[in-house]
Amino acid sequence: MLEKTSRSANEIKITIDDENSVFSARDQITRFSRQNSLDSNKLKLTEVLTIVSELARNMYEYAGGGIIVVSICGVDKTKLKMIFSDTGPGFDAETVLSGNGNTHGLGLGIMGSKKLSDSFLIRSGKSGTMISCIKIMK
Amino acid sequence: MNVSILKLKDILIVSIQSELSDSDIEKLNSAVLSKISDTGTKYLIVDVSPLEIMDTFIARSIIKLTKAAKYMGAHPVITGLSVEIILTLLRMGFNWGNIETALNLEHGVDKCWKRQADQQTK
Repeated sequence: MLEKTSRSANEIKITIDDENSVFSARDQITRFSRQNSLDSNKLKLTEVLTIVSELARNMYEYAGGGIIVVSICGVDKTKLKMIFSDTGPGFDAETVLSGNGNTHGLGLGIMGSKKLSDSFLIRSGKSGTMISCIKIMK
Repeated sequence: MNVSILKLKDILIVSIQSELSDSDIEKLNSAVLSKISDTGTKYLIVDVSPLEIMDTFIARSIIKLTKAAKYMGAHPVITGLSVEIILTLLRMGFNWGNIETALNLEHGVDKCWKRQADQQTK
């Protein structure tokens, strides 16, 4: 299976365009974490991969696909940054984040991902959605 | 095949071995529910021990399957949830509801048999 990534030293870019790519994204990010020695804390790695699963699945379900860019950041290089972008129809981020919306599907995954992240930014509108998560891995 | 379904006396054991796609989940539900319907098993164990990651979509799908089994008269038990999965879903605010769980398959089977024995002595 063709791996849809392009690689540079501290960053990988993953294309989400079908259901299998969601699973493959988790494997690639696991490998990327290992290559950068950020996989020692099993719980944190599980949290990262769960965020990826939730948000990549949303991209595929609601936007027909998108891109994930994963990089290392922080002065001490112990943080994993993931940016999920798509050109889908968008949603009302404020309503979803306030927790007043539904507790199923899109809302639950986004609220959950926010709780798992150390830093969480979301912008969504008619031209697409961008979600940025940072997780301290050590 | 990423799911195995075994019958152990009055217990149907469903072992989820790898990631499930949307269509896998549909097939799993029909396979399990028709098996319960055909054999009249009284207990359903869903073992997820091979899974290292569980997002809210998979968790909800498993809950739906267990609810359907309950409506068909089979008592469901989920076994094999890892520490990391439990802590992560807890942190996300995910609500498992009233589902019975057991540490692993062995404990799950013991629980079912004990429940069966208790009911027989009533």
